[in-house]
Amino acid sequence: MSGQIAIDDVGKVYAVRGGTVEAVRSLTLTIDAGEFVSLVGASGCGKSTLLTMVAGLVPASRGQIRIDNLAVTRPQTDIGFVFQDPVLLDWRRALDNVMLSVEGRNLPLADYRERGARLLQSVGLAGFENRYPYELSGGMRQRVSICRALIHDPPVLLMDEPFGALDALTREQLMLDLLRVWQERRKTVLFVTHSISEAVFLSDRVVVLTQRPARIQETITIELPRPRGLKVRQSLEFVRYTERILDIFQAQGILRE
Amino acid sequence: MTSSRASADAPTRDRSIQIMALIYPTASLLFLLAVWQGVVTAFEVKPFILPSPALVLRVILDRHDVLLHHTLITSYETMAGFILSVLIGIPIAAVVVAWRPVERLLYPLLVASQTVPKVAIAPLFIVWLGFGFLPKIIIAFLVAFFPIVISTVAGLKSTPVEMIHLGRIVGFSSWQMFRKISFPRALPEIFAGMKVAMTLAVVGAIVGEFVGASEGLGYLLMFATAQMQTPLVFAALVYLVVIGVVFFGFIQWCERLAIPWHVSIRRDELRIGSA
Repeated sequence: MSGQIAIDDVGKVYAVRGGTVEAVRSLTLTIDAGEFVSLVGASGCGKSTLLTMVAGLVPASRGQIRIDNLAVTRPQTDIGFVFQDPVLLDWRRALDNVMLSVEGRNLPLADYRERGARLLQSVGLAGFENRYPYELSGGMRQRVSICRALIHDPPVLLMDEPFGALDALTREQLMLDLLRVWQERRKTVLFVTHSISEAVFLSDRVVVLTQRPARIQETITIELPRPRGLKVRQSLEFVRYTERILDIFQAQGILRE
Repeated sequence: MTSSRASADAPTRDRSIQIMALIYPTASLLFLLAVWQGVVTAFEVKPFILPSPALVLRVILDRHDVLLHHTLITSYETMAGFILSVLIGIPIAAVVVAWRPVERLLYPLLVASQTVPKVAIAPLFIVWLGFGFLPKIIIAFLVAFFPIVISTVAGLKSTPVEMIHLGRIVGFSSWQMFRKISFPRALPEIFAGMKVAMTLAVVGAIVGEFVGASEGLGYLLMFATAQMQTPLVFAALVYLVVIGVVFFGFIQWCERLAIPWHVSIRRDELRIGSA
């Protein structure tokens, strides 16, 4: 298992009250195994729709998505998915929320409990294993949800604006945590965001989408050295990359000065 | 630092909140009883019109064996009807939510059946099932069952899309999805329905006893009214209130045990203390 994602001429049309909405139009994109790719675009442009299609949660209207050459036709259980909100189960303690991933996949519970505790520890949640979600801050909850997506060591990690609802400091810490985890165990990451600097900081490639229906406007390869620290954002290259994406947004008319 | 201090203060504050929660209703109740006693004494109201609280209290003490006997009968009918409504209502709600055709078949029928006043059909149950406990239990069940079905359906249906997506990605079967996600998430709504159902079950049992019975508080109320024994009527009403309050409190206690994580249950300091 390597985790290559091939999106081939995929389109999505939703039926809504009084007509249809085209969310994605003939989008083709291949993500190599172990690659970190971000999708950026205006809100409501269809990037989240694309992600749910890759996960097999929503069927594509046309085209095909393959993960490791297997067509995605049903919900993919061997991937990890991080939602915008943590989506923790309120009645489960932090570690039991992480273990949800293990229960559904019929993996040996006892082995994974220890791994789950270690994962929580690695994102700074040691001692919080038995706390209920309401006893955790927003950032902590999102960390638990990331552990839940990682515990079965999936080759593919899909993230839908996972840091969107967090404050700036927490977001930076989580970005660093995510990069560290990714560096240790190379996973294919498809990361949806509307933050340009987040995308440039994290990714190997940034795919800029058009406004709805989503198509690829431009793909930018980020050649900043790894491992990356927060300071990289002050470098000239970093600023050039963000400016380039900003220019695309301005050309699209999403941003106006 | 702040969090440890907050939790150290918490038990004391907690106790004072609990004490205040008792003081207020007790004070208003005592005030009401005092006014009542005052009015009855001042205007020399006849006991069969409106007995004074003191007189009602004396009846309660003097005839506690009779009252207790009828109370236990009514409690039994209420509890049995309520338990039946939970045991049957929740599975029906689950089936209604799981299979759309069932919803279309069953739901209109359920709603229509609820527009029939139970008081009107209560005599039928006496005809069919006799004067024993069964018709009262059935009537209690019939009135309690509907709020449980409605609230469980509402609860099960309001599982957020993301949670369903999550369940699919971790590979849950539909049974696991129900057991581990939708059902526990619906518990707050289910408990809300059970609280309504509990109070209605008491009414159902009493209605059953009104129509035809030789035991129970409903019977005692009818009997005492016919005999103009108004103090006994009031004494029976007091016992009826006690049944309602005790059973309601019991559901609330179960709720606190079952869903300590829910906003309606957890205490303030937990939310502040651990941020």
